[in-house]
Amino acid sequence: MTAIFIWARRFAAYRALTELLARSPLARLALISIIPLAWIVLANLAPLVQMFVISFYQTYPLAEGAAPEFTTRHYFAFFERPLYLSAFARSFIFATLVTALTLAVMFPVAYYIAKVAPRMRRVRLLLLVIAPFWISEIIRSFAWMLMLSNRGAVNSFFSFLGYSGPPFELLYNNISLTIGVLYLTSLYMLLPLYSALEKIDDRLLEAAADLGATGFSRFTRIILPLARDGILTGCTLVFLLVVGLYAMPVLLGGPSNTLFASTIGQIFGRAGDSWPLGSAFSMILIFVALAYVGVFMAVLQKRPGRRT
Amino acid sequence: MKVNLNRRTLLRGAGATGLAALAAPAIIRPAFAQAGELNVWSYSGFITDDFRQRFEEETGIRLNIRMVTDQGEQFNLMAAEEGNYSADIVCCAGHRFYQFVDAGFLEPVDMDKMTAWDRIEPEYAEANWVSRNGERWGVPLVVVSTGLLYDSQKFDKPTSWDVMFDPANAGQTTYQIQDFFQIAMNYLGYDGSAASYMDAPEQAQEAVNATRDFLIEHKDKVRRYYDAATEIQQMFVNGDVSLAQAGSGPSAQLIIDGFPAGYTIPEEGGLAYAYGFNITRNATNMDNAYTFLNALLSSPENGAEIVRSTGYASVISGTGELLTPEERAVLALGAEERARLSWVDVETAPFIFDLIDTAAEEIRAA
Amino acid sequence: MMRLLGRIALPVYFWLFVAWLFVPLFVMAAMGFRDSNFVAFPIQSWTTDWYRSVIEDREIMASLWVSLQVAVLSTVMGLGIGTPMAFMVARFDGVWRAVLIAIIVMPAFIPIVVSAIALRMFIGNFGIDTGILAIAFGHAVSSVPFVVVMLLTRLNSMSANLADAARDLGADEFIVFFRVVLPYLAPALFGALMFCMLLSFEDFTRSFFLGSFDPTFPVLLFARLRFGFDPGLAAISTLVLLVTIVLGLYAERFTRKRAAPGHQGRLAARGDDTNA
Repeated sequence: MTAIFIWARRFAAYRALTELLARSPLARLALISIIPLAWIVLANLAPLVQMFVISFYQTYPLAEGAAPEFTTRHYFAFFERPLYLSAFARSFIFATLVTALTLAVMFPVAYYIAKVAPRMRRVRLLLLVIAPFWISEIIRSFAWMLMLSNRGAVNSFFSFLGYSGPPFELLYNNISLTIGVLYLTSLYMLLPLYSALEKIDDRLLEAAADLGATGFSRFTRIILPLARDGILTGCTLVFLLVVGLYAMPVLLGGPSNTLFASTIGQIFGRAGDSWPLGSAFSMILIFVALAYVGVFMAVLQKRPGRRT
Repeated sequence: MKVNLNRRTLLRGAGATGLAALAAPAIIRPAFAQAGELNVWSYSGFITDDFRQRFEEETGIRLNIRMVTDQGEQFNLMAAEEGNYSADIVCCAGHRFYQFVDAGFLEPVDMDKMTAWDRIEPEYAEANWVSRNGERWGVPLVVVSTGLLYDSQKFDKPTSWDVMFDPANAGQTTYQIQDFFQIAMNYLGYDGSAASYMDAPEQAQEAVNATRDFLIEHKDKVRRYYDAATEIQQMFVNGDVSLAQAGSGPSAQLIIDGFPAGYTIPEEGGLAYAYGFNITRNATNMDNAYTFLNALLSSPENGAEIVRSTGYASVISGTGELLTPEERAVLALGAEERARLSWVDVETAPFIFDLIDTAAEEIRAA
Repeated sequence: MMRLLGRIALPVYFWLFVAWLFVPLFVMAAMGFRDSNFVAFPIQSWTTDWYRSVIEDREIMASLWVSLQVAVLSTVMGLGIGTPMAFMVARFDGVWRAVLIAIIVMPAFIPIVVSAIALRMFIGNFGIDTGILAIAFGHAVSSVPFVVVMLLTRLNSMSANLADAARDLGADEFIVFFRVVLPYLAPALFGALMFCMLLSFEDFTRSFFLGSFDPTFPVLLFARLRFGFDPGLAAISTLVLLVTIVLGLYAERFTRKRAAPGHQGRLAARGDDTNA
């Protein structure tokens, strides 16, 4: 690989470019920014603006030949019915709890793979844990239904052990929903945690141990601070994912715990003039969720410590 | 005994060709004399492999089939296509297809070109569920009824929807809120079709509110609300529920597979509607679309194949004779039960569905 | 105490976690052998017909091929766009950085239906055809935020000394990038790559809206699922799982053998010490 660049140095243009890049931070910035900026404008902002505009339409799609009329009523609709607000609040509480739970469950797993397991086996273990995610989310939801249903694997196991009472109702409640969601989010926590823990130098921990640090203080004083970025990233990803979930809560959740993303999904699910309302609700979700995560990150990153 | 009524039976027969496809994973379509093509959105099982093969061989028209899963999805995609529809034929159910008509997505059916219209059973051909604004907007293919599916080990054939609200069955029932809502309105003595409320919106609102409150009051009987037919089937085979408001197709599949269940239309009535094909506005391959629809309706054999792959009853005359007695026993409803069905009324649907959608959200959130 | 934790408790916990992941999948694999049109307990009679029929099902095989092409293409796009984007963000500080990150992660917050519809209208306006390329584009749009966030985590902790040292030794900017920076990012890149592939491989909504008449695997799966969850769907999911595990292990062995003599990553990792 390096040989290519050394070969390229024969050309004046290449030399001029690399020298310019070495000298000028601005040139470096320009070189790496062109494509990302174009992408941000075209792929991120354009569709968003499109939906933003649609959220102000009185009706959409427009009947043939009709002129568009604009209104803000779809935004007010959110506040008019308490059921939207409660689904909204439930989404945020649920996502926060699931994020915390996923972190608690996955930290030891990530730590084991990154620090305890033999170095040569790490990638293999990682691949093993990632493998189930190649199965479609909906199929995995059905697999959990097979596990937890009245005649499912768990109940069959109990009756195999000799239990003969009525089956345990494990499905369609908050427990089955949490199990299903945790199954989905574990990966999104694992990868950032692994990437953060992997870079902590073992010798640092050895040195701390040599200097008499206890296991607990090594964990809180060295591992946690160094893994902080990974934890924040993992939490952000999981939160993002859970706030946007709409299919699994419908399949595994009970009759009452509607989440806001499912509400939006149902609004778009009806054939008909539902885009303006659905878009308006999406805008509300996007900006509140962004602000929520932003505040969360700002608070945690302000903790005393070095900036990198 | 197991009567296997599944699309996979067809595929098993096609095993030999499948092996060849393994070697070259990209779809290699047979090279027919090209008479153009036709782009169809269809539900799984509505265009069987056998029909497709016969049609392509006879007409030389290549069928591009895209499988869709529900009405809302098709509506959203057509709206996003902004007039440049990728499909010539779409597949919306009687339910809400007025939305497609009103949005200007569909082309009215030209009855002069629909030469095979008379192959539709008269009972269905004259029904008004495809008419709006004085035009026909679609060709019916299968008829769906919505009734009561019950676990026959736990219940003798129930005669009334009462069982769904019986405290003894707490946590045992499931239904699709919007579909069940109209049935519940009828059950409570209101007019589920809303035809009589056309000029009295307050009255309609009152009826909807009362039904909503009734369903909320009986929410403890519900294990969960379902969305897709597969979910009812899974809940039954997993033993999670024993009573459901369900469509005839999924119920028939379950019963034919040997699961101890029964399907009936209770005395307070059930709903009926049709699934069929519709032509999109300014379809690119308009002539081929009519060739396709005529070919599909023209032979009862096509009807029988669709019945076997979906579990729904066919509208094509003569289909009944091609089915085995076992199949007929499961798929056909008695005259008495059939009389209890009310058809989804396309003209009043927009009016009442808006109210029901709002009520459904409240039931879910309660 | 810590030793005990490391030696026994952690491995036990880890393998319990793996069991939790895999038990439902074993149940599903077994369901593929059920001689019925539905999956449920108990399995009274067994058959291999379902496994055989899905392997012979050309529609399924074609859809897997489409999905594979889409996954590879969208991963290349996602990493190709996301990596420079992460570098760009890393150059910013304070408010601008926050604003940039907010805009970049926005697509991940948009409900999938909404982004799928918006992207469909977007490609329509630009005259891009639906199909593999459009789907890959749609997947890349949604995976770029994940790539950027993953890479930033690692970039934040990278010491500037590392690149400077390489420069002092005469490396030009490209060499620094490919020989020092990228290897340091390797674990995050691996994670990002996995995100891109998985996100693409199991996406239904965007693939449906941006696709044409050749369905991706999830689109086909959903269409069939609507009319009953038969053991064939359990069987094909199991086969996909097995194939990806085998491919993953093979790829891991392959890269391990190649990486063994060089240890470029080791050098990069060591550079971090000065900062830590």
